[in-house]
Amino acid sequence: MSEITRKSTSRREFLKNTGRIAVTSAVMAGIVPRIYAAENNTIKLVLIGCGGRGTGAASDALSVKNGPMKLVALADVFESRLARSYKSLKGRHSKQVDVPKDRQFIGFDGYKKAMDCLDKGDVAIFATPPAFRWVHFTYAIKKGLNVFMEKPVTVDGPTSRRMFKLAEESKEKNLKVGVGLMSRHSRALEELAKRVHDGEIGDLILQRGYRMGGRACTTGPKPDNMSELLYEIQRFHSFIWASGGMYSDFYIHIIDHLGWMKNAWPVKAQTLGGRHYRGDSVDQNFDHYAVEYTYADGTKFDFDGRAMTGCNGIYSSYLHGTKGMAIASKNGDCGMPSRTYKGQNPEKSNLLWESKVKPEERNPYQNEWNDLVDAIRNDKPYNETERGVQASLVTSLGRMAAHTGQEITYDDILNCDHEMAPGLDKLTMDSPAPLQAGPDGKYPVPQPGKLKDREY
Amino acid sequence: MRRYSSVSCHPVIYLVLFLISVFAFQTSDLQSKDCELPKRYTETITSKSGDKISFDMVLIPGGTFEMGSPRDEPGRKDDEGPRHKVHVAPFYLCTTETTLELFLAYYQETMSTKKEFFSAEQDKKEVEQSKGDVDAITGPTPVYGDLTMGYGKKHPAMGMTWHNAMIFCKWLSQKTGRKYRLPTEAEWEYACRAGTTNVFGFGKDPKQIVGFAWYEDNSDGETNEVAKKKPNIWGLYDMFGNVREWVYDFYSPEAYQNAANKSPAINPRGPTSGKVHVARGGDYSSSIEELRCAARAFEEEWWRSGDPQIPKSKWWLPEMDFIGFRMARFVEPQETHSGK
Repeated sequence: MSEITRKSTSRREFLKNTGRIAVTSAVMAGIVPRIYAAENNTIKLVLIGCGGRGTGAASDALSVKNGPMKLVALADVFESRLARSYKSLKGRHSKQVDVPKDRQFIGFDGYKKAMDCLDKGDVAIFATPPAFRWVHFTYAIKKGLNVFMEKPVTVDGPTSRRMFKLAEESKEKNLKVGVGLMSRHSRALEELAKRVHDGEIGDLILQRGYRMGGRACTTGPKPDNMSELLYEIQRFHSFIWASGGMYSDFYIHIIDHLGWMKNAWPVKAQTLGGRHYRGDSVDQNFDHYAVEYTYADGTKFDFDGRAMTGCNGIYSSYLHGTKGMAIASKNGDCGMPSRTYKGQNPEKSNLLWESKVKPEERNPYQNEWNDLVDAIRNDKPYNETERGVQASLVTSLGRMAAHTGQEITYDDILNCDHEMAPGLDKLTMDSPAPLQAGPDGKYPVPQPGKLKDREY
Repeated sequence: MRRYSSVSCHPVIYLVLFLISVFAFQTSDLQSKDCELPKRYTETITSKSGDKISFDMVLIPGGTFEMGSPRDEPGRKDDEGPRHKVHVAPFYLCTTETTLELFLAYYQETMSTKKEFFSAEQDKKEVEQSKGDVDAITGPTPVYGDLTMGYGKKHPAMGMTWHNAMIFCKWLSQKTGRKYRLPTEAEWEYACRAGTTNVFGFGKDPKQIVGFAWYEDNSDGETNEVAKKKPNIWGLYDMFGNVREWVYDFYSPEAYQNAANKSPAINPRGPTSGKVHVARGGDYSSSIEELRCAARAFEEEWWRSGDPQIPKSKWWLPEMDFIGFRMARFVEPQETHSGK
């Protein structure tokens, strides 16, 4: 199909979807139909949290092909990050980036100012550390904005309860919300899920996931010229209140897509872990975790995480059923291809199916944006918040089990009253950090078996 | 006057000397004084952790060949034409794809630790390092996930960007005192053809490929250890399949058209600029057609699909286990004259 034909087809679909009558009457009335954002069909975007991932998400958003998209504001607490992000985005999408100095917001209230640049139906991108999701989402709902938020979306029980509530409110307002669990938009995993749910490998009796690689999420001491608060935000992988730590940030994708394959969330977990080679790093993470999740039907899901340079590396996920097995992610969070096999040996002679995805649909990060914007433009139901909170909570559950040395149930973590960073909606540049270093400059680390109802 | 004449003479003398040297060089190429050079040698390096790692380099004799494919070759794509004459000077080429073992040694020695500590700390460290070693190479940032992707040390290294492969060669050159580099696209195809003129370098019967290559029909969807199949006539393993191999050249569909204007093209190095680079030889998931000596491929947009950040990593193509490289080396002048 030629470029021109394709364009006219999508134009035709556009008319069909918006409804011929609406268009006709709008034309008669001399106005453009207001089915989404603004006076025309341009969707405006703002990026809140301008790190590498946020910048990547904004770029994916601006690469969606089914109608005009424009970035109008940026917000961050670090001026240098914002400047770098602006430069990269301007370089890649010059015409779609309209962010003059007076729409570049630095500070903890930047999110409000950025969202104030949008109209109902536009999209706010949340790519700050996860601790701030509920703060930003509350404001977006108030303003009637669609949202794309990076994963994880919560790190503890109290903020999860808050986010479940916000999920309901956003649904009632018919807001479209994407959560950056991109496995869900991997075309390979979509087909695998269908096959597994249709029984291709029988009933699932075991799942395995691994993320074992080099040393990660460490941090050196706070530099003198930086506030403790900004330091913890900049090094968010090192601090549990900000990110959920290495466990949440690194493991959530595989935990999420295996839950999807199982069509259920684990109800409890027990986890081993420790800090073997943390050295001078002042972070709060363990450097290895081995978690055993249990589903309501009694089946298990084992996940191994390790961050030690020089050790055997594995980064993949597997399903075992009564009739066969599957490789979900061959390598990485959702690395293609996915495969199913008869029996439990992944040998070529046992291969049942291997995913084949067209090159233009191989990038799950682009797919998730194409899907979200399609839902916005065509008013399809689309709200991933609840699922995102569940995935975040189940991830936190395994982490809490490691850090306390206790078996933790879904209800335990959901009802846990340890809010790691209360009052984040009131932060200013001068606020004290949610976590304070001890006299030795080190931050509190988990003490399994000693601290049993909170992680530090 | 004297001054004038000396000035006017010089360019002529230089031109003559230049022509003589070009001629001499070409003659030595064409008539091949290669016999004075070692046909192959083994390079051994010691990693930071004390492991000895070896690889073999084989002499590829200089010569002229037809690059690209004839119009009637099954599976041919337009960018493989026009078929044109290319002359390649002798060079050394590694008998295998670069192994994980060797690439890990590089990674461990050069990995930049920027992600671990603050940049101020890092800068201090770099200054200190450079005092001890003027040419300290700043290598890759920590890989996202795991560099081995679960493969063993004799498997090919993979998932590195072209830039990363180039810096690896720089590191290896510094470590060994010999100038390692990526082969040019012409050198690669020349070595793959190994003096033959047929589709696969070993004959016309595609069924024979099973003996030479890991590809879609026999690979189990993964790379295999290097050198487990038969080598080609010149002793090169896995030129077909296993991992694609970065070469020096930028990709352009018109590259051959431009090269064909000079006949023969002498040691061509591809377009002077471009966006992406060529990767040759197909991989473990390739069809037979993609394994043809003439088949070209290049970095596609989706190779970055495991990297959700901007700027995109200069060093890694996360999840992409099908792209690697093999090292080449110039024959240095003193070797040509005195042997070694």
